[in-house]
Amino acid sequence: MTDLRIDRTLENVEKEFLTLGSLVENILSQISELIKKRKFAPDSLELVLDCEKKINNQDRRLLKVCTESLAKESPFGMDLRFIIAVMKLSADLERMGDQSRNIAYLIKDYLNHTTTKVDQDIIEMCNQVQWMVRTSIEAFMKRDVLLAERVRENDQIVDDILADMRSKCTDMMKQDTQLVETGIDQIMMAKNFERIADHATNVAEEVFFVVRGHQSFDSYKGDNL
Amino acid sequence: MKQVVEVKGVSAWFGSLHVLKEVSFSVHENEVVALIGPSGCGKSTLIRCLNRLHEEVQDAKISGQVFLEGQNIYGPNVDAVTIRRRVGMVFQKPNPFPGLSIFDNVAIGLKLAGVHNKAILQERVEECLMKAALWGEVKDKLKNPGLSLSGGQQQRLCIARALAVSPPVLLMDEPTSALDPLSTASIEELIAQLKKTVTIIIVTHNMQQAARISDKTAFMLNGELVEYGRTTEIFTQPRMEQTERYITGRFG
Ligand SMILES: Nc1ncnc2c1ncn2[C@@H]1O[C@H](COP(=O)(O)OP(=O)(O)O)[C@@H](O)[C@H]1O
Ligand SMILES: [Mg+2]
Repeated sequence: MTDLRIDRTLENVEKEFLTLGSLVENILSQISELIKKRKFAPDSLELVLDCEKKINNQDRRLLKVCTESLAKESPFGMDLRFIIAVMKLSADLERMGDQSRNIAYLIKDYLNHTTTKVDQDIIEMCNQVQWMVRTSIEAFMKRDVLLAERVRENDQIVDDILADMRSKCTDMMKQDTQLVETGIDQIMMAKNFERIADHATNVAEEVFFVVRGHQSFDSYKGDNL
Repeated sequence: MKQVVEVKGVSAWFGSLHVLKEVSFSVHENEVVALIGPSGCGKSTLIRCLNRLHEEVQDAKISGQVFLEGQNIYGPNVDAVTIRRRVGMVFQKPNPFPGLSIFDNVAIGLKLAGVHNKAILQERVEECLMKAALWGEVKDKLKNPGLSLSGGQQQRLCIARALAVSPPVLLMDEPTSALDPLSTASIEELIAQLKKTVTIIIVTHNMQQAARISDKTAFMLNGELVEYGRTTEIFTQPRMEQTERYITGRFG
């Protein structure tokens, strides 16, 4: 195939999108480290906040690149859908940054509390969310509908862990009022993780839109009826 | 909505060259339909089949049916000249009649159709020039030659001429490809106005133009109609792989 200008433009959009994606993966792995190693260094929070700022800047940069591409290339078909999807996902990734920052604020106090039996659930949730974010971005870049579907299915797992944690924390707080603060922090952290998983699910759903012009696997299958 | 044009299994040849293959589609009242596709795919031939111009070429052949407001224009005893009066045509290069004034360029169609009353002619010419968004620019120089106008104005004059006999359908074959962006914009604006009273089928190789001005788009390839549908869908989520490749500029 010949070297097309639109392809170079799209490559540039992809590159900027990947930069945003890797910043989000980066902020998540910082949080994951803090939770797993249970060490909050003096500059830990600062590093997270710094990364969140970079995410905001990259979000703005990505939108600018997309806007310019639309103006210059007037893309159609899958090219148009891809750029529209990137513009929407930019907002999702930016929100993931905000939620990661929220979690970082919570971690500081959380690590001062005694350990409880839901700590393992938080770690599990963090792992699931990291996988979903990484995989949804990969599925989007590869326009891989099947991989996107796996991310979408995984959202339920995260919801279930949250529901389970909620009841565990409630019991824990009822039994020992000393643990109320810990329990609240844990639930709030879990809630933020669950929101990140929702955003990753949005990323996965955009894959269907880009590839098929439909929002979900269901309508994609319905197309063949 | 009323079906104004219905094309049923139309095939066309130039000698032994088979250039249209079983093309079928229909166009409703007040619709603008854009025909797109690579050069040589048969767009011009297709619209020339809609007003019986194709048969004017030596050794040209056509089969199938074309219904104009319910009447098969290839039926027995149908007069090609009458059909051409009901299906106006505007070409790529503006072609005002040389030697005729602006006024007469528009009036001539009416005169040929038997209108000779001066007052009526005056009124109809003014009305058509207005419809073609040209009146304001020419009302003080109606006696000047049509060819004295700019390219964009000449094209609008040709549109006014086509409108003079009130055709239900107007065919346009790349009507803006020889015009500058400003004249192009005014023709596009005009099309949006005209569609209230005329059904328009327009060939264009400018994809943005097709997207801007048409309600439906037909994509042709090698004499076949690959996909026909709402313009918004054709340009955002076409069903056929070939259409997707063409509209995203990845053809061939
Ligand atoms: N007068 C003609 N005589 C012979 N072949 C022609 C003539 N006009 C067009 N063709 C051929 O018919 C095919 C379709 O042409 P046309 O309808 O003009 O395509 P388009 O308008 O899509 O560019 C082309 O292969 C072209 O070379
Ligand atoms: Mg042509």
